[in-house]
Amino acid sequence: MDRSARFRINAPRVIHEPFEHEVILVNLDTGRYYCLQKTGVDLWTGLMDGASVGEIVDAFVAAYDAPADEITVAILDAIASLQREELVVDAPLADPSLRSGRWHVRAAAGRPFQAPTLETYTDMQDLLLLDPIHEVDDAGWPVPADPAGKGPSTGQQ
Amino acid sequence: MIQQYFARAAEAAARAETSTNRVDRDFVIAGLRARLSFCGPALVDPLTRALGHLAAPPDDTPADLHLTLWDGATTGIDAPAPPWSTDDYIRRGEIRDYHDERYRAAFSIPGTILMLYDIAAHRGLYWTRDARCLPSYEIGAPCRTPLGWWLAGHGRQPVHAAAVGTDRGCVLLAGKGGAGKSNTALSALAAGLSYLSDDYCVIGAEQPTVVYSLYRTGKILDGDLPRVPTLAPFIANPGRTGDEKALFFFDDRLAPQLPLARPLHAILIPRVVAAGPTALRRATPAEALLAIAPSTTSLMPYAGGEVLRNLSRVVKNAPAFHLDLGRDPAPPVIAALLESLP
Repeated sequence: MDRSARFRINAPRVIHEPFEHEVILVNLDTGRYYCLQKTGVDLWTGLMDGASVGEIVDAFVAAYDAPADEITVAILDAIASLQREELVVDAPLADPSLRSGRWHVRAAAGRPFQAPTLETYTDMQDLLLLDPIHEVDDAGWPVPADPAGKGPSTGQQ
Repeated sequence: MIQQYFARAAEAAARAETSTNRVDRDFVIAGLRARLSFCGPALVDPLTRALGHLAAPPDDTPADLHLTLWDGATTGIDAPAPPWSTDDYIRRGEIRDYHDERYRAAFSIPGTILMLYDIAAHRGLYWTRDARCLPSYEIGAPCRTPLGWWLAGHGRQPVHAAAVGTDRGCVLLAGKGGAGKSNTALSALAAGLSYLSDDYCVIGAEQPTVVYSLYRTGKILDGDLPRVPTLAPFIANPGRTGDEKALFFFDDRLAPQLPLARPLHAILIPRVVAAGPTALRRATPAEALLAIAPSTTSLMPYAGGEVLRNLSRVVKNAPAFHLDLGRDPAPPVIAALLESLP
């Protein structure tokens, strides 16, 4: 991954909600929810502040007493996960001068480095699945598979 | 496209209205007045029974929502044939390309229910083919989609959560299906606590947060009925078949326990545990959001980021706890929590 690469949130498909120690991300297209904690929160705020991959890696290396290679691999893996889940997209034209400059890694002295992980919640995807439509009536309205049905699987319990 | 279709559907509704006697029913929901205008009597009882506790005498006050409802079977008037294809029915009942900044359209395939809403005019249309074919979930939680669109447009947030409490306030019970929301809520009602919802309620626009009752109903699997034997007289579908849940309609016999609103004091995330006591553990606001937001957004067509932001404000302003449902009954634990919170 290019050290000069920068990313932005994949809006409007993706939204995020920051908390003090966690960030919740939602892909509105897929219904998937994600949670970043601890170092993941620092990584996310760095990305959203417009920091480059290299700047983020360097900040983590400076903040934690851990091998630089270990930190570099962990940060790059986490960014790759965010890309793979289409939560972020390249922002190659981002103007570094627009950065707030306030971002920093919130490592406490002596705290061991933990690789940022992207927790994924897919429970709701089943609710969003639609049964295939097999028949329509003369007017074109779908005919329910189970006319006397007890209710759909689409969350209408 | 949606604007033209809405206009044609409104014309069909007007024809249905003239073909039979119009029946108006007003309801005050989370402080707002909704007027449901039925074209004939067929849909009145199935779609108003769950809302009966919110009924208000019709008056000259302009309603905040005007929803016209009709069925094809008794009026002889159907909604205009769909100009979209079968491939355009997508998740959450949404219809591809049939929504914009002003209009919403959704279709429930199991119930053959078309729902349209004009956000700017606070005007809704609801058509179903035959009242006799309405699914039990629609009778237990009628018009949830158009009411949800309307409430969200007025700063209220419908939420997929149970709500129970005491005279002091209430807790939301949040989580996906099967987490124990309904069982806990109905057990709380059976144990004498206040009950606002087992599945769906409304967060008001006030600060501090207030939770409003929407449907005075409840659902439970047959296998769990022995947990709430005193609620058996309120079962509305004794002849249910298959794995259809028992549907309760609660009425004024339980009135002291059925408040219309309660201040929110905490959010609980229930989880059935194999053994051990029923106990509370502190949860983070993010965990509360993850418990309440996914199912809420998945139930509401076109719900997006604004729901997450609304619910985020809620979870940031109320303490959250995991509720491990063990061998002890949950209602005393909930009551004790409410007593202990400021």
